[in-house]
Amino acid sequence: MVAGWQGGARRISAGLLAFWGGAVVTLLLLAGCRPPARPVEAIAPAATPVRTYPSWFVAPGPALGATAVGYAQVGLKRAEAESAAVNDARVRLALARRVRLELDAAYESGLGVSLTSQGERFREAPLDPVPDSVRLLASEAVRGLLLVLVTGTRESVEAPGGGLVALDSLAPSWVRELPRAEGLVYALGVAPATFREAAGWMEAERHGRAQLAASVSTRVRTLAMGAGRDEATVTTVSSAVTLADVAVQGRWRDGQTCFVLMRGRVLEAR
Amino acid sequence: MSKRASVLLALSLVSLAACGGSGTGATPGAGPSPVNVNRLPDWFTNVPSDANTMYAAVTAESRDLQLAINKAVTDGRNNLAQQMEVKFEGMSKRFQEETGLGADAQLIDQFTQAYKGIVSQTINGSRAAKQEIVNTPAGGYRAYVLVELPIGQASQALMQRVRANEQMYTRFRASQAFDELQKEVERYEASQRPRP
Repeated sequence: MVAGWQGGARRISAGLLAFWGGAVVTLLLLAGCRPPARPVEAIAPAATPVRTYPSWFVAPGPALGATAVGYAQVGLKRAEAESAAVNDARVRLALARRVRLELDAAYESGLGVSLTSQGERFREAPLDPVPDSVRLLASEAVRGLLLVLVTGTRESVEAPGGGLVALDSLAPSWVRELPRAEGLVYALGVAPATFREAAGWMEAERHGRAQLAASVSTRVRTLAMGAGRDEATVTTVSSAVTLADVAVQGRWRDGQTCFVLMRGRVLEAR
Repeated sequence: MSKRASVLLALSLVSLAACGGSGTGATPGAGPSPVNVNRLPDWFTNVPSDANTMYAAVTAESRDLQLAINKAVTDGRNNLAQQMEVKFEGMSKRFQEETGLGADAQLIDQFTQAYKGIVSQTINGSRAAKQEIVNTPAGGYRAYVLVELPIGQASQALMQRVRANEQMYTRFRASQAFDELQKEVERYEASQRPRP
């Protein structure tokens, strides 16, 4: 009798468990299978690993304009990489002083899709000669990227201190809003942070100078063809300006993009 | 029974794992990427307005980050050029009405040439004042850009062209449209003076 009652109780509890188990599975299948929310994430990576760079690289500070950063990828021989970085910095020093920037670009989009293509020609020529010799103020290798800071031999700039600083995980304000200053123009340069990090920073600087040129003076022409889904547009822009004191005022990167804040002073605009 | 419960539990876990997803991962080629209206920058939906500045809030998408930004900024400059053209066209019409120059086709043509030269050829002093770059689910980028242009600079250029044509300047000076242009130029010049 007792055994029969216990057997009955076991059957009832097993039945209840099977019922509730089935219900849970059904609910999970019905409610849990909604596609996961995929928010459009602003570039502000909370999970980006901490990256450190020399302080003079992140924010050049008071020596801005009188110095230039040179890039190289560290190979087997540090001395060779340093020589390449210094040579790169010499050219950047000349570009910073006075530079002629010419940008011609064309964008094509339409034909019923949001497909856009771009063709671009950007030329930058320093108006002053590239200095034969420069003074090396600092040199730092970070994760395969060799950075050097140089100045002209006539400038009395002292080697900066500050050591390595960690980049903020959140984007600095200038990534979202350009600063304003009397007599200066600003632009944001961006580039994908590729495996060769030096290439990413160099491209971000180049993009920043092209954006500077476009913001000073741009000739825009647009040709639209067709209508509705068949509409296609071709837009061309061209700029030709001469700038001085072109320098990177700030640098920041997240997991996938290098950002530079470029500034300059207008000497001539076409 | 315990086997049945284990099977149910395993099924639950499998269904959970299969349905979870990464949540943040972007899937390249996952189709068109919708604009998440809840995440639009404030300035994109409420475009600022200012008497001295024209604004264009634009967006463009591409798998290439630079292209997304460049295209958005170019569209913005194009938009500003159109806004300026509308503004100066309105000024031209008022100029015609006030001075009764409807019949003087040559002078009207000269004025139109003056502002067309300012508007449709070159945009000076525009800047991508604000920008927001977002990753799209399709693995690309969408750039939102607020391009701004001080009106005063263009008005000043137009005024210089009008002044260069003595006949046009004499007739134009008597109109309200001239006063409007003059005020814009004065506001712009005042804003350019160094503040003490």
